[in-house]
Amino acid sequence: MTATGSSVINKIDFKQILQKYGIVFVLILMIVGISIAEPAFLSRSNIFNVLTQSSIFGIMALGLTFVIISKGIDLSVGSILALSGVVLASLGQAASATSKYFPNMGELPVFIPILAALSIGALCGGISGALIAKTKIPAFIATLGMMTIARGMALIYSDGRPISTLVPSLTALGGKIFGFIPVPVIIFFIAIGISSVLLQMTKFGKNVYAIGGNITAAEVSGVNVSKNLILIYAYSGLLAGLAAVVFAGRVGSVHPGAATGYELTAIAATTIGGTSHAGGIGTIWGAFVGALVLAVMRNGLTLIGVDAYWQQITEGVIIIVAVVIDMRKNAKKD
Amino acid sequence: MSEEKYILQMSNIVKTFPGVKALRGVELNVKPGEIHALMGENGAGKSTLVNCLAGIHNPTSGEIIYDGEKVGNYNTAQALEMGISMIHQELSPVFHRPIMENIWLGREPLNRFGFVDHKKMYEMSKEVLKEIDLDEDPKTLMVSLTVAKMQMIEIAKAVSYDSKLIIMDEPTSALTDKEVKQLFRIMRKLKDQGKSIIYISHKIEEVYEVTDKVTIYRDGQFIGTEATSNLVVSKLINMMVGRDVNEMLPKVKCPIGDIKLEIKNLTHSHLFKDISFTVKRGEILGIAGLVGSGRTEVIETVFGIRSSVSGEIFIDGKKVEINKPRDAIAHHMALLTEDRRLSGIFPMLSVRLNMVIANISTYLNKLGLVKEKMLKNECDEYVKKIQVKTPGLMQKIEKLSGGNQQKVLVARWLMTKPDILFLDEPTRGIDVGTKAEIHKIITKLAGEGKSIVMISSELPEVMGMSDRILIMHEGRVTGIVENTKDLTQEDLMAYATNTVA
Amino acid sequence: MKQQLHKLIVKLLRISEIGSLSGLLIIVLVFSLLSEHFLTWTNFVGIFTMTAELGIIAIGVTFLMISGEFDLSVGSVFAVAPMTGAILMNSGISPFFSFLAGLFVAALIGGLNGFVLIKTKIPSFIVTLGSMMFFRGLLLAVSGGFQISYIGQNNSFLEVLGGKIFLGMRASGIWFIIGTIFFSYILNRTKYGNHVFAVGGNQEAAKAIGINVSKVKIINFVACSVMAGLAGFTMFGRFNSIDPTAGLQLELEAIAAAVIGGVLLTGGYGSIIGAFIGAFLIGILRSGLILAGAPSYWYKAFIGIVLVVSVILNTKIRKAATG
Repeated sequence: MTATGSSVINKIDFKQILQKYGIVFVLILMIVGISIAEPAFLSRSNIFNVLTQSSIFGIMALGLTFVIISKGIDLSVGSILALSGVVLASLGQAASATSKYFPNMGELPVFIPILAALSIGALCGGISGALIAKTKIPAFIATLGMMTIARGMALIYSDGRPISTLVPSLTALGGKIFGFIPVPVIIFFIAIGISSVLLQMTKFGKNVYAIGGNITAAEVSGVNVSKNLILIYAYSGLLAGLAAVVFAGRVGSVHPGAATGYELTAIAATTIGGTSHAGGIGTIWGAFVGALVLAVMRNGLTLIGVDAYWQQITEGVIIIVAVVIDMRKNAKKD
Repeated sequence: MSEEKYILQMSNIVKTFPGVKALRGVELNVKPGEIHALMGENGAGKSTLVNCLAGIHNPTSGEIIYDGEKVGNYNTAQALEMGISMIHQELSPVFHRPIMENIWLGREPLNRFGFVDHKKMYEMSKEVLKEIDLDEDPKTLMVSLTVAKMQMIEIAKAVSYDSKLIIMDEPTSALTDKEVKQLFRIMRKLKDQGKSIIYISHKIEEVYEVTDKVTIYRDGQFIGTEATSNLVVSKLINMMVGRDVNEMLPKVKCPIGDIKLEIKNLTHSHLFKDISFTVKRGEILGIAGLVGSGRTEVIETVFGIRSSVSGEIFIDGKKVEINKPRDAIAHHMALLTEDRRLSGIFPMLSVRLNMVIANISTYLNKLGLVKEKMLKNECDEYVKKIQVKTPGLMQKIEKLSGGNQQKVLVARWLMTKPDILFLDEPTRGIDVGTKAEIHKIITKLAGEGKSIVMISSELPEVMGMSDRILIMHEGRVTGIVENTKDLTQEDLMAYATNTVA
Repeated sequence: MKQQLHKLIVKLLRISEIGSLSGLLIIVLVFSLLSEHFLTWTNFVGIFTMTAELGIIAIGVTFLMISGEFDLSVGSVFAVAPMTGAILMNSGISPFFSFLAGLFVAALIGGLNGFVLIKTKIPSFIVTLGSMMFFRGLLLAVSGGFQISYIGQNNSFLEVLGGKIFLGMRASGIWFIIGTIFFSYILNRTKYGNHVFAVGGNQEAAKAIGINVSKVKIINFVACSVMAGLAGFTMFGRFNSIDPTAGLQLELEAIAAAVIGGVLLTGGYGSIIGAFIGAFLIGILRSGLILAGAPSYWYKAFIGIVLVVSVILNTKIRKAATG
């Protein structure tokens, strides 16, 4: 293909912009539509509300972006949230709690439960990754296994009961600073920043793309495929642990059945954001937009007064439509 | 009437793919009860022609007269119905199902209730297998068979379709001598039954052993059809190669230094045995040999993609252990693989990432972040240096032409600053202009004192580029010769077919 | 002699259910040692009933997976079909026709999944994830989130679907067995069955001999969906009511059962009997752990371990059998 003039270049650029930001236009259209129907949607508090709502599955979607770019899947993040969450809650109960998980333990410094949640998440993910890398079983199976194992462990650990009354420094993580900026949103943005840097600016990130793009070529080019696979799933698990911290902060207690089905919402957000299940394609930015699309839709439909159930219906349609658009765009390029 | 005498007459067949004219009006005439060889170098158009015949492609223009009737476009299923079967080089059976289901797939015998009659299928399979002298239980799963057996099953399938014309695309490339003999016995038996076989092969001795006629193609053109027994080997090779080598690629002599890489008695469990050779600084070692002779496998083993059972590798006289490609890269080796799509490019990723993937560690700052600016500058430099034609570094590599993709891969490996380069078919499927540019780059690298090992199926290329030439035949080194003026293609062919006088 | 033994072993290993079958035997053995109540008729009947609903879905899922696709929407269909039936029955339509209508809706959903998959070439994971959410949402919207009970008097039909029949056995168990036999027969005895294996095992080879790959896939999506609908009806028969959240996450359990039974995610390999055993194994694990005195949550953790271990074992066995 030879560019004969600047007009051709402009045309290509325009097309690329449309392809790259297609889902953003959808998001803007949604926002405009909802705001017309319900102006309260655009209030400062509601915008923060939407961001807060998107933060938990949004954080998971960031990890899934790594996983899906590497041509894998992680079904275990919802359960890992629950397991990390109950451990976090058990270590972070306030002295005033009526039913204490560790009756004789005083209040621990807040970083201990948080660190525990993150490490458990990373460990669970790392185990899935190791299974995938070493035994070559499909990621679907390994993480489906981890999904039920982690859920089972959460139930066993908590004896099926929610663990509540957390120390104020933990619940503060679900609150606001300066009276209006929700902490979950700040955590979400920090996670977005770190994930972006990891994916775009480090060797690890480049390897993730390479593994998803062509695993044989990656091996031949000297990429340590098994190590990177373990890291990818460990990072996904770590972010599920982080999501557990946010969850605990917002809800103030953690139920072992928490976050059931969140993995699918997170996968949906990632997919809507343009990350391809064929591997090698996707961005953190996309996952963020995907999470926003889902959150805006849920929030907007609720504001307009649409039955909560219709949100699920719309979600199902949006996933398929987003992927169809995405496939079209990739097909056209051939 | 001459039309009565042919089962197949293909004439003026043209086939174009986007950007490529694979067949430029070729012909092929096959008589009943004839084993007919198709010969030619890679890219001559043999495979495209038989793919047109088997209904995988439809010719862009041209005429096919089969069994006395002119036939229009048809697909593979219709070809089978007509009695044209093809046994592919890469077999793809339904692996986890039994032999008999593979043979009768789509034509399962039914009992009067409409259910599959397994007993009958079993008996029918037995019969078909007996017809080709194959003693195998029809209930055996395909996946547990050897490649040779799978091939026999494919032939049995062709027999079961009562095919009049069976196409075999390099059927012997993965077979042992004994299995080849068995295949030939079956081919002759089918011939005696009046069936015709179109046989594609690179192996000259086999062509002489089993075929009646041979048709030669070159660069998508028909060169000639001869009775095999009337054709002397030298003429056959001449018809296949057809141009004067030395004019095309004048070898530039570079100063040659000490031994850089030495391989001693490298042996694989079954693909090759006792391979020993050396490469010096500034030297280009060409590796010639027929497809399937083990050339690629040797190189892949040295590079750590496959594992050997014994053998040693020395670099600068020091013994090294290489178990993974990254070990090889750490020892400043580079490998341009044979199959660009399978193990070379990352199709949907950018030119830039494709370039730097083997070398990212060099561009990390203290925090472990990639120095994008430095990386970009370096990529720009290499794009200029080896003249990659791309609209930009962020272009997806799959949108570049094959030649430019190959250049990006060359850049990838040059960026790792290698001392030893393995180039496996570096110019396969690349247009003539780019080919010459890649040749220039290779020569220049040798001039810089790098050691180069180049595999090529094109004898002119090997002879035009190399200082020395190593020739392989069925997993063994049959000769390592200096590339002097008096070396001829016939000499190399003799080594490659192990028929040195 | 030694060679014969080797041959016998290889022959045994080639049975695709061998892994799950041996797993089943070991688990039964362990639980009979742990609890004396385990090997009793009442317990067996209890397990079988629990297994049946999952098992009926697993049959359909296996059938579909052999052709190389899978379906996450079966959990939603499991509730949609009987919900349709319940609404129609309550509006006075005969239970039998309501039943057929429910299954018809299930078939439509399956057909839709297959159609979207073929037309858009999106991976089945995404297509069926979308339809799973869509239909679950529709279900909740239509029912308002409340369960629907059958208010009519004509209970005999529901009895046929999921009622007790003899010795404490429920009709769903019979449906499970019938389904297993029926689909085994289709897979192993009919031309269509061969084509299902061929489409999943090697799509290009199937195309080359003229098999209509799209048609096979759509039919299998429909079959899978109808089985999920049937399973839903047996549960409706058991409780006389249906909850819009019924069958949540059942799709993953059904896939687990299929995979434990030896099905390959990539298609072309597996058996209905395997799915039967896989579902049974899950059921036994659930009840055995309870009888052995473990809190019910242990079951979840165990299923995951059994799933992963069984896939690793199945892979190893397959390799050993085929060399």
